[in-house]
Amino acid sequence: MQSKFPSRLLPYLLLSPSIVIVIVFLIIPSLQSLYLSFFRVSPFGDRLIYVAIDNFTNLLTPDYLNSFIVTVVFTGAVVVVGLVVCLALALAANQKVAGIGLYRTGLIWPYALSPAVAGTIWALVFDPSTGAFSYFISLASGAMPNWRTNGPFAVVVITLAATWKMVGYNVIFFLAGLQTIPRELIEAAEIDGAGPLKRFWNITFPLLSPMTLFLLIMNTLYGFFQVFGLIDVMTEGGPARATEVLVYKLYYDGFISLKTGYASAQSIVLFAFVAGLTLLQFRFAKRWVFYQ
Amino acid sequence: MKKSRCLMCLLVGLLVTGLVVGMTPTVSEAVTKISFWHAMSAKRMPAVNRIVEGFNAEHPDIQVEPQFSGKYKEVLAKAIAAARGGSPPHIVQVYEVGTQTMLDSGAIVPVFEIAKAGEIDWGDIIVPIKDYYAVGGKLYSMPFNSSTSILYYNKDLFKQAGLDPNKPPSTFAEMEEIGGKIVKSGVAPNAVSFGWPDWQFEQMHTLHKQFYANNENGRSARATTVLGNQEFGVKVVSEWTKWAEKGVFIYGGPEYSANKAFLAGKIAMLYQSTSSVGSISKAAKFEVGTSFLPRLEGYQKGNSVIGGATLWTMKGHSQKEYDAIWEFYKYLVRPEVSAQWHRDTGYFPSTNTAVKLLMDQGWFSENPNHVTAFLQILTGIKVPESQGVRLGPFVAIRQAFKTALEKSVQGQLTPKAAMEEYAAEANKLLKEYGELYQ
Amino acid sequence: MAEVRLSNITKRFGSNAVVKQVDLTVKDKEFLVLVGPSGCGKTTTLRMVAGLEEVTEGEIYIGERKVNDVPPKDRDIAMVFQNYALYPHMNVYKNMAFGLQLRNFPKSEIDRRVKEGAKILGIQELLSRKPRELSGGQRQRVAMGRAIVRKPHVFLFDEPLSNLDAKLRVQMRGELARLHERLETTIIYVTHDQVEAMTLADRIVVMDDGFVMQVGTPLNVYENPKNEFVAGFIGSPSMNFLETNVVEDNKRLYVDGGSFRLAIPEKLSKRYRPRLDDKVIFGIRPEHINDRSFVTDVPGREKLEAIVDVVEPVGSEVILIVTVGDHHLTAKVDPHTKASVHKPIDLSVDMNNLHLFDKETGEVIE
Repeated sequence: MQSKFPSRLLPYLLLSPSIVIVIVFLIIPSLQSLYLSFFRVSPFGDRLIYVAIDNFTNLLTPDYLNSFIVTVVFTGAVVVVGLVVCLALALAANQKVAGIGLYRTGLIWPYALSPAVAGTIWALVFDPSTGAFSYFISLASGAMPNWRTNGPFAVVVITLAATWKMVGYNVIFFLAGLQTIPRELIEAAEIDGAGPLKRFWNITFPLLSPMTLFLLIMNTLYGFFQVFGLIDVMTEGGPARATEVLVYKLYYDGFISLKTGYASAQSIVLFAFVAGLTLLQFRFAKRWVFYQ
Repeated sequence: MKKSRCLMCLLVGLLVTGLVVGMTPTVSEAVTKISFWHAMSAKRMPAVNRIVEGFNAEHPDIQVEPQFSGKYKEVLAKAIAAARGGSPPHIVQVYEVGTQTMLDSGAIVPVFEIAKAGEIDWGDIIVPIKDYYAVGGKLYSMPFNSSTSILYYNKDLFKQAGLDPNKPPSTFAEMEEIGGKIVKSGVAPNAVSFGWPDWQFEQMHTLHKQFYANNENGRSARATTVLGNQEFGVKVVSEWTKWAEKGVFIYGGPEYSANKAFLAGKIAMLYQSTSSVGSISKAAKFEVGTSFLPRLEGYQKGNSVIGGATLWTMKGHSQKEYDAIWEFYKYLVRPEVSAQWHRDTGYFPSTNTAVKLLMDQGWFSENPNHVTAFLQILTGIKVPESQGVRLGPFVAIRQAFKTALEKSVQGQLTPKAAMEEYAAEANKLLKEYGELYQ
Repeated sequence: MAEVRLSNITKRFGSNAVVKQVDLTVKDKEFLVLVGPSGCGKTTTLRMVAGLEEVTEGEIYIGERKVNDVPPKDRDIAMVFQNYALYPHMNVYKNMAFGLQLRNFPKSEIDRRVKEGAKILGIQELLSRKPRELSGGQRQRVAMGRAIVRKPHVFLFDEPLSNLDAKLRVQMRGELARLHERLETTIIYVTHDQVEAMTLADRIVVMDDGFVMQVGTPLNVYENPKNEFVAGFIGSPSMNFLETNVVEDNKRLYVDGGSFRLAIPEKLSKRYRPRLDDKVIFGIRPEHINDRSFVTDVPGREKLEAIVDVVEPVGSEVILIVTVGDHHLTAKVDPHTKASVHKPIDLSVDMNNLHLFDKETGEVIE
């Protein structure tokens, strides 16, 4: 459908606020970041030394590699656990049971929390001295894992917190996807002889695949970028860098250690990596995603 | 086409208005507004507000607007962003590790430049504080909240463990022994933890007359190497690691994280800033004792080092505003104001006069835990090693130390290897920073 | 041996009963059609046979086996849905093979059956296509193909032709009939279209509001409707219903509508004499009201004068809506009739085919 505008200037004027915002808040800072990544910058930004690609080559250190691995492991865990658990929850929430509205609300509301609040809750709940979960764990196993000193356990705790926060988002989308599958298809499969498991694998899951792809990408982006607040509140990248994901390291180097040039280089690398990952996901998806 | 013309005019008008309004600086009024960004959270915030309200009441033509802006590192980051954006605040509270950064920034006005001669008796400022923040004998920033680290301990737990509640450990060896007894007796799962573990490492150096970095801790010239991987630093970390292996020491996270464990009775002892003495005393359900930090035997005596923050004045404001700021700084060093600040928080009062006032009012005899930090600092020896460390990339260096300590305590690296890693990182940071200011 | 027996079936959703005490027997190899208006319970009944709905009261038997608690996949039935329910992400071949694969049929057997079924339905060229690439009629055939490769004992059809256009529907009807002949399998078929029911069924079950109104062959249901509902439902245009009295004049019985009086044939007078002077509903089909100019006068035919309201030429005949005093009638007359609007016309009513219904119960008077 085409519209004819009464004046030639009007469309540009109407678009201009959005364009201005995108340029000012996205394009220009990105270009600045690219520019600064070739410099060493003083904290107050008053001095710049040109260092060519030093900032980038300095990334080839064990610390950065560690961040990389932590990020991949963490995001992988969030994506896998998140999608699997949330799909199961959505299937459960898709039934006509009494009180289903209440269960759904209970599943969805954590998404409304800010990452900082979610991080605080989980930090408190797992606090080795005073946390409720820590208490139960010590009752059950006799040991009290301390996420301030135990790297792997810290990763587990932030994975739980991050995944928990996304449950609402994932469940809503999966529910919506499930509800677009016509009941008759499931019934036809039932008559054809498919039990619940086969019905899920052969009918529900393939028809859910566009939604699954969407959530795969969103959860990946979430794990790479949006967990920053959670980690800042809980572990600040520790202990011993065990939870120092790429975006957190970037934040710390840039805003706390005030190494602006170095952090800019990291942001470029991170951007390139995530862009590449997303493209890969789309490519790979062509094979298993079915669009109606 | 009339309708579209009107619409266009309206849109253009809105755009222009929006831009103009957004870019016009606010019109100055009769009252001088001073923005004061600080990091005083929890119980410290009402104490700050009390000072500001008192000042504002006395000076109807000046309005100081305090704004809590997060933790120290966040306040600094915001101030930098504001300065770079061309609209810095008037006063910013920056922690001691940011001193070098602020000095190098080119964005501040030294206190001695806005000071009016004779209106403040600089000689009255407590000596260790002045020593820490002065450069070439002159103060660049205004002392506000200074503290040092002391040892807190849970007298009730000591009694339960069969230990003398009036004899906390004085040496590393005693800490190991007493801590061991506490853990063995089962009254608490661990014996001791640290607040600000990176700062405690600095404390160990200054207490034992050891330099933390070369060039006299960066005070005579820019520092180029840290000395934490030398014999002393490695010894300290080894001791702490040994304590951790025995369950005596448990790593408690950065800043004030370990306070919770202490208040919950999960540890019997805590190394922490004296600025927590007020909140810990109020919140503890047990009898709180305080003492000096335990020393390592075999090394000379130095002094504990000042921590906390000072107030920095930012460039880019009018003379009228600087006069107003100066009035505020004068208010801060008034004995009653300074004394009340100490009473509310536990931070040192900045002047000797304030100390005398507190003593005369009988404060110290009623609140013995508030005196400990004083006594520790006053019984120390004034040596170059204890005047304070000044490094440009100090924040990152502290982070490197925390990581090294974590690795050593977790057993990932030996203390020596951890310190070597720390030193390599720290020295690289110093080199890079130095290159910026050739 | 696939008799399907529904023994006093009732289905309730909450307190609301949608199928009420339905008692039916479907004979082996029979084409049985459940027909009725929306909401009459026909689809629910079918779904209970399929096992997609639980039976609240009563038993269902397929063969000799009681299947109330048997899951759909074990009832040896196949179903064709109204919306075809083809698996959109599988091609036609896979759609048809799916049920057989699930039952672990050997690959060669699956291949044979699918190709055979495709041939029967004429969809061999479509085997590699996905459902979204097919037309409505093609999808319909694939849905049927999926059902027939299973070689079940009973086929269940749930309004399979409703989504097709009129022409295609007629064509598919013929194919369905041929399919039934070829496969010789029991079929239970649900539709709301009485023409479909009449043309396809061996027997029709007319349902309304959860009840079975009448069971019988198409001709039986057409000629001998048991009540007003069935009489009005079957036949298009539907039967005329007029409020009349049974009166006697000179030893002859008449149906008196006020503005008209039609004589009841002698041989039927015994049946209706007990209802003398009663108010009854007089039912007569439009096809039994003709233009007098085109029929021969035989006993039982009565004259009726009317004014023409609407003339609807259909091609093979003309439908007239006429007025007789207060009454409106629909008549089917010869295509060459001279009837024109607002003009009077002489009609001939074949009273051998009259139906009288009790005014209170709607039951036919016999």
